[in-house]
Parts: sequence; C-alpha cells; structure tokens
Amino acid sequence: MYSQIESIGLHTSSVPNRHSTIELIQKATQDCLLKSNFTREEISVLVNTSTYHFDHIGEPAYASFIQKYLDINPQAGSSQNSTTFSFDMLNGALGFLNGIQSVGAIINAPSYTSGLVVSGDVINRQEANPDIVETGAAMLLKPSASESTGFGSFYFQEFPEYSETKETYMYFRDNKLNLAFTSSQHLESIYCSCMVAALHSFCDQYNYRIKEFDWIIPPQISSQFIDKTAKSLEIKKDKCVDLCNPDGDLFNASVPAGLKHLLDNNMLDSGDKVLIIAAGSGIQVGCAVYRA
Amino acid sequence: MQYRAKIESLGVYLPENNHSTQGLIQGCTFKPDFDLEEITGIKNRSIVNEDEYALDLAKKAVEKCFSISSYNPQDVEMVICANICRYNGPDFKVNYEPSSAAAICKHLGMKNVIAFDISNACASMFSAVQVMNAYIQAGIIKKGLIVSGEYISHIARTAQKEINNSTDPQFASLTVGDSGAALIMEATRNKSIGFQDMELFTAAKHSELCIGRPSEQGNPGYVMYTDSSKIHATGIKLSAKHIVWMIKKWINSNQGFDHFIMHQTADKAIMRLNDKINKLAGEKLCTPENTIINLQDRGNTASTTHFVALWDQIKTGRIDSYENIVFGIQASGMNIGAAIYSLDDLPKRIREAEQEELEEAANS
Repeated sequence: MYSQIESIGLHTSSVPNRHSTIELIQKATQDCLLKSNFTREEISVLVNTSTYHFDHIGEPAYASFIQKYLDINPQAGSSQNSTTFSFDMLNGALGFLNGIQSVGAIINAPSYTSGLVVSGDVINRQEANPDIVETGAAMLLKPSASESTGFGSFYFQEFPEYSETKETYMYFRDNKLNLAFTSSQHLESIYCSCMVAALHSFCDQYNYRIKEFDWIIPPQISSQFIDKTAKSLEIKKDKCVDLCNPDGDLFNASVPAGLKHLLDNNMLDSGDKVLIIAAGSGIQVGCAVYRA
Repeated sequence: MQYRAKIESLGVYLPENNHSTQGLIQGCTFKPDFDLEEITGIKNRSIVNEDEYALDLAKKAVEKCFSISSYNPQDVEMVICANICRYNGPDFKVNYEPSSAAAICKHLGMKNVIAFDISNACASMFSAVQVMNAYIQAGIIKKGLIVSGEYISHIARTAQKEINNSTDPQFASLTVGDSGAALIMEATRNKSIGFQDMELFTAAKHSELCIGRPSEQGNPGYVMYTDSSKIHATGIKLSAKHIVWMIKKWINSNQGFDHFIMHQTADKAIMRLNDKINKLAGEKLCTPENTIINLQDRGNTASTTHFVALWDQIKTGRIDSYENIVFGIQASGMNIGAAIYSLDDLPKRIREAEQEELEEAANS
C-alpha cells in the first residue's frame, strides 16, 4: 500500500507566539498547494496532527477550522459534490507519520483523490517552554503510480516501560489553567535505545539492512541527538538529514521538513530509499520507507 | 477479493451513578423557563463515579469488549482512542502526551501495534471506524480496537454555574452523559456482513456552531457553547440529504434496512430529521418503528451514542443478528455521515455473554 508526495509546504515562525496553529498551517498549505497540480476541491481528506494549540479547544476538531480557513470545500452540502473529510489525529511527535499512513490507506479507495496531512504545534511559552520550534507543515499525498514508489513499510512499536519518561498535561490550579511538561533527563538516550530496538525489528520484518538506505530522516530534536542516533545505528552521520534548529525540536514537522529538504535540493535519484524514523512519548517509535 | 470490516465484538461501560435532568436543572444557578426533559426526551444519564476518569471508562469498556471477543489483546494490530476530552485526573488534568491510545496499549500489554488518538467531536468514534475500515480494506491490518472513554459530564457542571438566561448557549451541555464504548473490528471476505458503505464529510463552513473549550469564567472544566437552533437546522438539512442518498444507493443495489440509529441528541430532533428524510425520499424510509431513540436513560453520550444505543437495543432484543442498520452521523465541525452495516451473530453472542455473567454473579 503506497501513497506518494504531491507537494510539501513549510512555514517556521521566526518569533515565538506570533502565529496561531491555524496561521502556521495556512501559510504552509498555501506553499504546498502552489507547487501542486491538485486544486483545493480535489482534497478528499484533511488530517491535522498538531498536538498543541494554546487555546485548548476540545471541540470541534481543529481540522475543521483549518478546512474552513483554507477554503477547502467548506460549503459541502451534498455528498454528490466535492467533499472533504477532516479530523484531528493526536499522537505527540508521531502524529504526522500516523497521518501519512492513514491518508495513504484512505485514498486507496476509488472515491478519494488526494489527502492533506498538516501540523502546526504551538505552545504558549509564557506557560512553559518545551523547546518546540513553531512550524507549520503541510504534505499533500496522492495514490502512488506504482508499488515501487512512495511510502511503504510502516512499522510502529510501543515501549510502555518508559511511559512515564515524557508526559504533558493541562491542569487547573489557582483559578487558572496551567500546562505541565515532565520529561526524564535521560529522554534522548531512552529514545535512542528504543529507536535501535525498533529498527532491528523493522529490518527483520521487512528484510532490510540499515546500510542499504540512501538517506535517513531521524527525529529533528537536536544535532547532538542526531549524532547520537548515527553512532547508535552505526551509520555515517552524513546519511542523516540534520535540519535541527538551535531553538528546539521540529516535533511533528520533522518528517515533512526532512523530505522537503531532500526533494527541494534534488538529493533523491529515482529508486533511492529514505528511512524515516519518528520517536515520541509513550514511548513509541515509528519507521517507514519513502522510495523516490 | 477486497476485505471489508465487521464488528467482531462490542463492549459498553456505563457508570452506576445516575443524574436526572430535573436534578441537573435544580442545581443550576439560573432555572430555565422551558422543560428540558420534554424537549430532549432525556430523563437520566450515567455520570462517572467518584475518582473515575476518561481512561477508566475506556479500560472498563475494553475489558467488556474482550470478554465477548474470541481474541485477546495480543491479536490486535491497531488501537484508536476516540474520546473528545482526555480528562484523566483531579484538578481537571487533561492529557496531551502520551496519547490515550498509548495508555491503553500499556494497560493491555500491547507492543507491536499502530496506536493513536482521533478527535472529531461527536463523530470521533465513527471517524475512527472510517480510518480503521480503510486500513482493513487496504489489507494493512486484520484486527483493530477502537475505544472511547467519554467523560463529558464536566461540561454540565460548569454549565450549571454559568448559564444565566433562557437562551444561554450552554443549555445543550445539560443533556450529556458519560460512558465507555469499545469495539473490535475485523477483516472479513463475507460480503453479506460488515460495513457495506460508509461516507463522512465535513461542512466546515459551519465549524463555529458548537465549540468546546476551557471555561473563561474561572471554573475548572470545559464549557460547550452551542447555537442549538442553527446547528439542528443545518444538521438536519445536510444529514437528510446525505442519508437519503446513502439509503437509496443501498436499497437500489441490495435490500432494505431494519434499524436507523442517528446520533442521539434529542428525540424531537431525531423525529424532525425523519420527517425531512421521508419528505426528500418521497417515501417513508424512517419510521418510529425502525428508528432507535436511546436517550431516556443515557442522554447524549457524545462520541459513543451509536454504540451505546446498539449495545442497549441488542440487550433488549430489539436489534437482532443478521439485521441491517443505517447509522446517521452528525457532529460539530460540522461532520455529516452515514454508514450501512449488516450484523453477523454479534447480538446473539452479546446476549449469551451477558446472561453468562449474570448467572456467574448469581452463583458467587
């Protein structure tokens, strides 16, 4: 089951707290659609994977606001016309990868044309600073022309023994809402060891060798983390895409940013294989392959 | 041949703690001059017990679901958690990370699974069904678990404090009830059972007609602001058109249907929708006999209403094995949808499991 990239858009806020989730995603999606042959009306499904948007709206899904403000079939009144199905998919920093796999599955059905996965995690830094770089990301996916190109070989693994190493929650105290971020000081090492374990299982399942990948997109947490990942996987650092921002983690934008970098800079030849690795709270690790 | 998805097992948990509509109204700072019970058909609803939160509701529903299933958690390849609010602890603790799905995986000892949360207002559970159906049809998974621990009654508590006039946008908050619902979906090649057709879409132009957010008046909890008359009028118009289209497609190519389960908000709204459907169809498709209204003792349980209604009406014997059901989905967003489902022997298995449990309890 494969889907392939039609286009990717990104927008990073240069000043924290300046843009809302919707504004970041709007800018990224405008960039994405400019490069696409698809029109807004042809977007059949919209998945928002942002975990954080500081107004804490619980209902409706943020995806419906995004659909409205991006003018993607907002007035759909009949199933016979072009319609878009929008929803939020939440899974910390793994959400975007889950979104890519889910849209790939959905657009496999004949009645769907293309699907848009977006994220725009924004945290009010006056409340807490978990070092997430506020980035809007949008990836438009279409069914693959063949089974030899696009996304495939998805693999996810849970490490519940580390479930308490990272937790974020909202709570009400002193007549106001607060955000709490707790994480182990060993979180990056734990991510690394979980990623190594998951990758071995992934390679066993799909009969891959880590060295056969042309590029690796690890979580864009920090350059030090990517160094550590390369060492743990015993691969050359220059095979790893490193777009880390000194201000913090690209979080859900890691996967689209990494792929956009490779595509925009013509770093992929036909048949090249890109290994994508995502790691997040849970602890969960996700892997997938993108074939150019 | 392509796979289709069927519901292999279903489990529902309803807290024993009950609140009446009259009691809720009595507890309001401002008493309305209309009869909410008469308008909605809701007399009672389950409310979480003390120290019970969203994940507890989800875990109890999952336990019930696996007790009826022929599978155990290690057989499942995917977990989707679909409650709207992740209210999981004192001081209005709402979790962002890890996801509720990750917490359920930990609880069940599941390690090699695809797990994430879906949030889409009252359409969350059916959105999860739509997504899992796509994974099954694409051959990515064979079995998956969908669960919602819907602790939503906190919006009624804040509404009791904040409602201050008869047209207050928080009145709909007084109709909600708590529940947990879980289902195991499984791939089947049997064309005569499972989801025959399903389509959801979002009319995002209307996304601001119902908004749930933390209270801005210093109360510890969410509030839900609903433009009730507009959301019902728009919802009925869009739903009727879509449901008629889906039913006609099904009837033209196959057979009839035995039950219509609409999202459960208010009995009068459901009957108005029926009238609109019948008028548009030019025939009596939805009647009091085939329309399930499950509001009297449950209220609006948000993301779980269809599956709580299915569970209750299977237990009463009104819904039976091998019958066809039309589900009508309507939620803020505004999400509209319909699904046609053909039951296998699930009703028989649920009734047998419940009878067995009653006998075990009587013997112990």
